[in-house]
Amino acid sequence: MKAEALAVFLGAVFVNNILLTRFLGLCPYLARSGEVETAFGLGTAVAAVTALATPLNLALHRYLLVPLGLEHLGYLVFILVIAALVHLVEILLERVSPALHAALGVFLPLITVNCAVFGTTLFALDRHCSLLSGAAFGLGSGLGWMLAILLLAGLRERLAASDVPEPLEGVAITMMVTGVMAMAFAGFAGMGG
Amino acid sequence: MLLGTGVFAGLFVLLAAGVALAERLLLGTRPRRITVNGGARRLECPPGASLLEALTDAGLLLPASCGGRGICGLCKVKVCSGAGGATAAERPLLSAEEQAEGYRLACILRPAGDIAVDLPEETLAARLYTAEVAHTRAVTHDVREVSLRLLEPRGLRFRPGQYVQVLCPSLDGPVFRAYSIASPPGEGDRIDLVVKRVPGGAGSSYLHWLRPGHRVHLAGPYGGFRLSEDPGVGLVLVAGGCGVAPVLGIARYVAPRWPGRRVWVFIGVRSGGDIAFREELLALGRGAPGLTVHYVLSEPRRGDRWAGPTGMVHEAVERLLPSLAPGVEAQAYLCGPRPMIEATRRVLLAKGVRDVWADTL
Repeated sequence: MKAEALAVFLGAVFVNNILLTRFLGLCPYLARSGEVETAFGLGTAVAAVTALATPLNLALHRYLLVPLGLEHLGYLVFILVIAALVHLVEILLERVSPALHAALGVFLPLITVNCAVFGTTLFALDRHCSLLSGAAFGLGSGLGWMLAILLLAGLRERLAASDVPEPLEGVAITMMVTGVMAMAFAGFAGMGG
Repeated sequence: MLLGTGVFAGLFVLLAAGVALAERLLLGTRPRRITVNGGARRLECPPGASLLEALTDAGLLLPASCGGRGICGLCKVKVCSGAGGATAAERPLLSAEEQAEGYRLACILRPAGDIAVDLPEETLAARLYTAEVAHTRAVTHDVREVSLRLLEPRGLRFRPGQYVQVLCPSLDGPVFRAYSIASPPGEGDRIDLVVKRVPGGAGSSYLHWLRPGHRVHLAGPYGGFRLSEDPGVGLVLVAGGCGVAPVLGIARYVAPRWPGRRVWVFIGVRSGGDIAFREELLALGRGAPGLTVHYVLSEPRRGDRWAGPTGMVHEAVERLLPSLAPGVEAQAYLCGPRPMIEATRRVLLAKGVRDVWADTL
């Protein structure tokens, strides 16, 4: 059971990286990856929300919606839970680090509609995860997203000082870099998960 | 159906209650007290609101031409106590000295406790005005002069070189945009603005669209430049791009008052088609022998037949402005893009001009 959860966790971080293999949660990934510091903050927030929302949504689905025959309400309930968690993280961040709260700006409440968070819940449901492996999957998926945005932020800090051809500046070179990273992550395919 | 609605509503209430409880526990509900200028004004800021919102609600109109989104950097406020250092979002807009003195952007700062701030006198004096467009005219292919007549309240007392903020409609709702006053003080209820069209810009598109009879709302005056009233002090006025408006305002004020006062005006534009107000400044110079006017073209076209100085405006200042003799004082006012300001400031310092005020566009 525990070994399975560990495999699911590692698989979610590397093999099935939610961003680099599924390309989910791209918008904040592109917009807030200019500096490692900010990327780290956003990555932590997304990872925290994903890690909490996935098992909570799984539990609600299994113990509330299915017994009452209300599976069709799933999406609504999941978004509601995610929105509440995002708000909690926002309040917590404002209390703990007002500087980071200000730096993340509108991208913090926008985690609510980050498809990486919602997607993780749906993938976990799809795989009929147990609560434990669902929690591991949520945490791994969130940390995987954080890993991807941190990698990109590190690269972009270097890109800022390098001579990029004019037509490729900005989003274009960022997408190309993301593509190369995705190919590198494809090397993990087949390893567990 | 009923069961589904009930379950969903129950969950909603439960989560909302949880969030509200967390908010109350973590952030508190007591409004933060703001002390302005050592107790001259005291006001309250609800939890979660920005300092700019609290000041605006109290009628203290800070300049903020980006609408409080942390872009323009005009709403900088000196915080004496109660707030930490500048955040990553503010640092690019504050100089190292300002950061060391505790300056913050009021639109970004959300006070976590009671704070004390220092506001400039002119901010405390700024008011909201309603004006009517008296007339407008095209100055160049992309610059328009807009003359306004104040309706309510009457009479705007300002110093040469100051600016107002015009309330402009935009897709995000009304936003303030800053424009320098090009007319000299003391013309009753009339003020002139000079507006360069910026493609897609909310403010310039609106002001270019205005026609006589339209009503506008503006706040002001703002700007900390204080012109020396001593005619013995020379004056160097340098404008880049659409920075010509305040320079024009100062020249229009100084030339008739002190015809013999040494005034050097440098105006940097791209090419011949961008030259604005040259005839008027040259006419001012004919009436005031102390006034010298130089237009500097950075990219003259063949059709311009330009024999005057070319290159960047700070290079022209270096070539054409005489070095100050010992004991001679001069004051400089710069208005333009940041690189131009920095380069010109260095040139002026090397020439012995120490009193330099700059408004960055």
